[in-house]
Amino acid sequence: MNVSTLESALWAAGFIGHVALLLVLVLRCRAREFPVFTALLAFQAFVTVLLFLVSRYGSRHTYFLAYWSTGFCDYCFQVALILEIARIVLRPTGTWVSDARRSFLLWGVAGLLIAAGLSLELGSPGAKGLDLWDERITLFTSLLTCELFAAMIGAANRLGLQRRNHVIALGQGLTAWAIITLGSNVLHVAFGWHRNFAVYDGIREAAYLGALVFWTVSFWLPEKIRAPLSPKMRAYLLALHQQVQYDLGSTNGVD
Amino acid sequence: MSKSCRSLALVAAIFLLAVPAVRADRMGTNPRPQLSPLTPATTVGIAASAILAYFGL
Repeated sequence: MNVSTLESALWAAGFIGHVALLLVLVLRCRAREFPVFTALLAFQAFVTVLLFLVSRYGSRHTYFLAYWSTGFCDYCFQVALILEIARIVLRPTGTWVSDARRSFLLWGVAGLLIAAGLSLELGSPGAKGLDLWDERITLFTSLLTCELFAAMIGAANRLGLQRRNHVIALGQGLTAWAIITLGSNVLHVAFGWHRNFAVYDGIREAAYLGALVFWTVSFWLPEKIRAPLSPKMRAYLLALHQQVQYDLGSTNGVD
Repeated sequence: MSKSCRSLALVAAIFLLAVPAVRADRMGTNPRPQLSPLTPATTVGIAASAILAYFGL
């Protein structure tokens, strides 16, 4: 398979980025909190090695089969990553915050319908048949990734849930990459799907490398420690606790 | 679950498996092959699997 110098450089940088971030997650003990993200990085590193070996020793057709046969796992990881972020943000104590699941599901279904509607409406001029469906499918999954994340953030904001540094960084990196990918896909549709093919892929890959660097730095740094309660608030909570204990004692005494 | 519900669920599962596999916005930086996997042959294959799943169950 013919690979240009730029493609080779991006390919190698992606592998180094995945391994570096994987090491950061393991060494800084973040892997247990982010199991899907850790598995995604390991999967990406493995696929890169696999595809490199196939491109080196296999035929063009074998590379084609190897690349596309891993597409479903890749998409499952994208959706699972959004669900992992939702689990950490919307289930901070291990159980869903009241109304969070309903709100997330409602917005998620609405996003799915909007993504389907927009994808069916959009299409590059002159595209028809399978090329048109190829465009629609890519736009649909790009839109769905952005909208699922927006649904999760919307549910968290509406319920006033606190979000922590690492999970915010993961979400910000993923959203920035998904939006840039969506933008490059829209440009791709507007100017023709198969023209300037490499340029649009280059934009998406450069954005992904940027997200990898951002995640590596963010996950290396410790999370900010929450500010301790003020003496006034501590005294208020203590008084409230004593009042509740007293009321409970009185109720038990009456019974 | 009734037979028709199971058939519809299987048809939906086939499409859900097929659709994400052919999209272009992959994570990572692996070079994409020039050809799309959505060829007439694969499309006919997906459609045939869905029809077989619908009538076969």
